[in-house]
Amino acid sequence: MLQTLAMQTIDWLGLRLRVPGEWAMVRHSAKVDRGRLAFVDRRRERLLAYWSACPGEPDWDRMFSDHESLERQAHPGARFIRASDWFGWQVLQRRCEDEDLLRAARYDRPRNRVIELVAPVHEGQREVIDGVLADTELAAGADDRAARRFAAFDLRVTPPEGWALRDVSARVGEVAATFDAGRDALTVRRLGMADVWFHGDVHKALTQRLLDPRARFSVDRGTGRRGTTCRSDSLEKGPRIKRFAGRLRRRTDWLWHVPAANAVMHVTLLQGRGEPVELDAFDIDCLDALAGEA
Amino acid sequence: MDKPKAAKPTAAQMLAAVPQRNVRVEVERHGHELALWVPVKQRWYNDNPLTRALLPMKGRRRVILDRLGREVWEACDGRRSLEAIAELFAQKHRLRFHEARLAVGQFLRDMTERGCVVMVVPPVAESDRRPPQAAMAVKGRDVRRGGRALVAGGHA
Repeated sequence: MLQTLAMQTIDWLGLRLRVPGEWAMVRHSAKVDRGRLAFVDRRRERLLAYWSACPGEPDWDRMFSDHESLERQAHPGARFIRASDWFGWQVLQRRCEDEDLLRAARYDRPRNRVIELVAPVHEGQREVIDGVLADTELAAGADDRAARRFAAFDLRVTPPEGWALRDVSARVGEVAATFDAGRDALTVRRLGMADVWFHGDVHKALTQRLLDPRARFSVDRGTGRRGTTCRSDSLEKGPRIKRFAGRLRRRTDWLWHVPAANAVMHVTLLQGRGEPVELDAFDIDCLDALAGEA
Repeated sequence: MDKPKAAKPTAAQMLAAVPQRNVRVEVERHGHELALWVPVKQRWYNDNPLTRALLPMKGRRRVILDRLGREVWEACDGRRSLEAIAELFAQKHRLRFHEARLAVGQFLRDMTERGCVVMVVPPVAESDRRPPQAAMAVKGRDVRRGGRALVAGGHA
């Protein structure tokens, strides 16, 4: 069953998960010290991944015995199976009449945090959960390329060194991921269902989104992987006094169409004083939601 | 005596629910858009010709559907479930199923509230592990003005 499902890769704050393509992420957090990701399929919750800051590797036996005591109170007749190296995870499985539950934990040393995965195990799903555990990877370094990589909601962004994920918002038809480095900020938006609202003119689309009479536009009919891209240069919005004092950041927007994904990408870069950064420094990719990764 | 509240349908039941169009809705086509005229039940004070002449109230309400709304409306053929409509929508616009389900679900919720559509929820299946419940039809109300839209059968 595992082989026939198309898979998707989620890269989130140094954690890489490979989950079935039909799972959807319904809760997420971009905080480094504490957060969670929740995955559901069409009918029920499938996986909870959460992390919390921890200065050193915890005492796993004590931690899992606490979990076991709590579980025994809720499910008195349950059986528990404990394993200390299940694909690199510390695992506690609860077996009872209602539903089996698998809890796995691991220490992420570069980021000083404990990562836990909690998954209900339904009939025929054990193979899927074992596959998720086996394929999970943690980035080796605190700020290496793997740690900076972001992949979720059919959007892939790898910012350059010094940049980190700050915020993600996912709504129907629009996903936005924001990264920052000091005063500089980059927001990457994937605007879906382009067949309904985008009419082929990138300049018009960007003008309508910005509504800024001071912006200067240019269209690059490049042959690179982005195709025709409209760029605009302006200043970020702010009070006039800040503009006169030179405190407003330079704003650069790019917009291009991705026909294969039926989406339009809109990237906004806000830069303070300092070396200007170009779009090519960021590795940005937009995936087709229905293609899958096999 | 208060009616016992029906249990909330499960996720599986909602996916299997079939939206039924209100047969009393009249449809007008304007290019890519559709105008749906939904008959509205007259208030008690408008029941006789004299008050109707003094207080002329519209007997119907108009709902305009854009291109996306029209697609979902036309997919509601009385046989397709919410899950099937969401899959069609996802395939056409290259969305993930979850995103399509949210969009279609929200739209059908609005349409139910406006009296254009009724969701027929099937009884819970054995595998659903919830207490059994009878099939129920969720009727819509026009929430904007508190008036009741007329659905199949002539009354709300």
